[in-house]
Amino acid sequence: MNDNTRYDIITIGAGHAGCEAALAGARMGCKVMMTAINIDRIAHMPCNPSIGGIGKGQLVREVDALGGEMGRNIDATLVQIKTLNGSKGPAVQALRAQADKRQYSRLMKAKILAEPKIGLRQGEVVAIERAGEEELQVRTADGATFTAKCVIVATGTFLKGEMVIGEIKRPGGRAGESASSFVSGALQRLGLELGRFQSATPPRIWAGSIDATRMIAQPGDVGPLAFSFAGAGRRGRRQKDCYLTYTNKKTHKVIADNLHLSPIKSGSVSAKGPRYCPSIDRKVINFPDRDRHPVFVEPEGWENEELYLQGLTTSMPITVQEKIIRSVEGLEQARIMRPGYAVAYDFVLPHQLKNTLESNAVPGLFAAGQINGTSGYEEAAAQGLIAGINAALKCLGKEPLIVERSQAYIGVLIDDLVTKEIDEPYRMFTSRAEYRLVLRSDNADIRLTPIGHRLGLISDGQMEKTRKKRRGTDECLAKLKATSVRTLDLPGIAVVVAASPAVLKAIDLLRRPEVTIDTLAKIARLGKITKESRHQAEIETKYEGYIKRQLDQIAAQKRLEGVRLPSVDYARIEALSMEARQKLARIKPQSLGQAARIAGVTPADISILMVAIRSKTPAGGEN
Amino acid sequence: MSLLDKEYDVLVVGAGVAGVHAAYAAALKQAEVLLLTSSWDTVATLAWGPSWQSANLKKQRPLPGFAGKALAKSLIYQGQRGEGLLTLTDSFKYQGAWKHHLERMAGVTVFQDTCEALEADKRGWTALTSWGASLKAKTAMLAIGPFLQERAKTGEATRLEGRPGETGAERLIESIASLGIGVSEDECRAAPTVAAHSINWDLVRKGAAGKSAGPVGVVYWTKAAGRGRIELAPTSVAGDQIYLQGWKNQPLQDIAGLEKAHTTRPAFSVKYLTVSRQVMDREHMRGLFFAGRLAGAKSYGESAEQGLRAGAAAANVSRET
Repeated sequence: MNDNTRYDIITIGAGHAGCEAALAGARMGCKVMMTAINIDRIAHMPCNPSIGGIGKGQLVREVDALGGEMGRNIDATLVQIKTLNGSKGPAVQALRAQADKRQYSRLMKAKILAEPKIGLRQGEVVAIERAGEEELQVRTADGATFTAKCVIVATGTFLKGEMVIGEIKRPGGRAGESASSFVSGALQRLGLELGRFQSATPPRIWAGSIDATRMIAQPGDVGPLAFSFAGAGRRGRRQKDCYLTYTNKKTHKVIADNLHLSPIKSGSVSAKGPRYCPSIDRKVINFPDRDRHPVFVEPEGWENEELYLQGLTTSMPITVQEKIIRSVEGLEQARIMRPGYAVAYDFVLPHQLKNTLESNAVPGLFAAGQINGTSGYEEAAAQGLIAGINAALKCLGKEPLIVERSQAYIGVLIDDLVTKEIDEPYRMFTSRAEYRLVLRSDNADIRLTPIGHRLGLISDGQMEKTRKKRRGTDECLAKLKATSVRTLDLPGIAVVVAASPAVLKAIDLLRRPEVTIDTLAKIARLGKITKESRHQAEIETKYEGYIKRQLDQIAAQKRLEGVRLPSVDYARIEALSMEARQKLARIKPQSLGQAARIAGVTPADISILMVAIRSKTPAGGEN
Repeated sequence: MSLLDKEYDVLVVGAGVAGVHAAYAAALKQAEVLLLTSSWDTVATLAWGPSWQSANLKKQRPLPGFAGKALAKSLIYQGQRGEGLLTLTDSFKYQGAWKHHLERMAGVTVFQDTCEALEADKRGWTALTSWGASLKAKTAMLAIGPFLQERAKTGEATRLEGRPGETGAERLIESIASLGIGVSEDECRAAPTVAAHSINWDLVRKGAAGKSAGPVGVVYWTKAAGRGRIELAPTSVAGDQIYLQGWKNQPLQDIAGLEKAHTTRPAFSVKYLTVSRQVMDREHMRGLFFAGRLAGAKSYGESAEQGLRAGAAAANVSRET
């Protein structure tokens, strides 16, 4: 076996998870091979041509803060960017960008080809096997074999992929692309259990066939906005509009009349679909009282006349799809370019993974992305980054990176995946994060960049920028605490604070909802402090009470999180409920905190476990 | 009117090099064209390397209208090579140019689906697609490149791939047989593509500095012991991937400068079926055209020229019907 076939890490799949994994591994010094069935499809967006959104935007900021690529890539190739929930609190604000799909993919591919430690190689993987003590072997359809210490499976929706429209089924991972036929079997032979999920994508229509005057324009924000902490964004950059329209009673009647032809209803797709990204068929079934549902008409790129119909996901027969679309205001003459369809695919039940994304059954085998039962490019990228980092750390003989729920949305994502039963495709929301006031978009760098820097994924320059931001925030807070303000000096606010004392500390004034940091900038002499630092100081002041409460909760929970669970023979702890014993054995939690989150494990069970560990009752041995 | 009920003048099946030129030429003659493709993301794919050769190797006639513009927009390098020209095209740019042009061109309707069957009737032709659409046109053109293949025998896993990882029409061969169209076997090979950063550029040779019409001024080349020249042809202006133009199955370690080269896309060959040229003249086939690799073309230039001719001819015939 020559050097060309031996790697540190092999990633199977070059989607959003695969790309982050390979880039992270290579940047940490490992020799990485990336395989893909088609290397012209790198970081392809098969569904919504956008990055970010509620919950997802936070993930992208965190991936960027740790040194991942998605944030920079979308900043350079976006067609529109805006802040969602701008009028609501900072915990739920998120960035969302429309992408130029072709440019996004091309740019990511260029970065991969520019990385000398990554060997990108086209080929379909047909076998994954153990090879000796500490190695895995991967074989491709053209007969080549490669070995590596770590293999990251990031095959998205390709495992035994089957596309469905109406009652017609065709094998394939995406339109025009072959499915992966052999990886499922390989994973099962390695001892992994698979489930089956279904995802769907809406039709694409021709831009020349819509009536934009009958829809509501949704422009981007003037900005400057950027996902990446390393970028500044450009104010007033050229952007394309999206359009908002709605379904109506006519639409719903068409769907109801044709429900028997919908794969979901007819049962030709038995796999579970995503609850939070449902097809319009499902929405009409589940919400019969709603007389309209929103439809966002989104561009797919600059030099591109295709439009994506968010909210009209369907896998009804093509003639029905056309009727559905043409019943919507503004789309009466719409011409379908690509039909919508559903795709069913195998996925790995993620409770079989550790919180490092390494599988319990096979050392060195990691899984990341949609293959773990998630939905979304952002969720995939976050997992890919963590899997890549941990595969590299394993190769370097170092301790793995475990991101806690209290540290990042990435931590929430991974903990949910490996602890809960995933029975429908998992999508991130802010409501999933119990500490969302601490895990904000604006402070992802403060939380995570030091980790990225320690790992070698963040430059010294960027680390210093982050330190400066924190220093700036502290300086700002200090100034606000030190400045006394006579309410008479702020005529704009005087009326509102009429009942207040004549002199207040600036910081106390800032707590009031009607006072912004900009009003206080001059009087507290914040001139030299950057906008980012001021913004942070403002949030930390206004939400101080809530933030403190969440920080206290985190501290209290830390005790439980810190109790590592050795490999325990749960069956022999008879005081535990039967359900708890089964669930604990199945999920193999790493900590007492994680054990507490398993559905079916009660607080009483946790107390029993605590006692059992301390008195070192019959155990299978230490971790 | 529903896109599915309309009767088109020309139905072009396949949006490769031949297909896009055919759709373009037909639309220029005011025909209503339906361009049917299994994947609108692989429009005008240059899967066999970045090198363009015209049907007449010595004279590279410029292609007319947008066909020529698309090449010009995506040119990497054009320079003298012996008696002919070496023309290298950036496949991403070429694809983007054609995709956007056809999306905006009056008279062209693009629809993504796979043609599983083609039937003739008094009025013209009907294409049945895999997702159940029935598309009607006065004339039809098949330009599906290497995607016409023998059906696998029953029992074997069906995986019809015209290019690695790309699926095509599994059942179209049945229609071809029912129409009495003779086919013969052909094969096409693509050389490996390697990562530019893995080439030892000190050991390869610089091509002659002549006038290049493209942004890249020089193309390097190398040799394996004794045997012919291998042009290190970049597949994009950035030059991060290099196609081994002129490779003849030599192992990479025997080629100067490529001893440690990393293959990004291994060499591959595809066996496919072609239709004989005589078919096109038969009377009861009036209104059915073939262009590109399917009709025996061996280069992009030949596919393009066949597409232009067939598209114009189909538009003419559709007016007579």
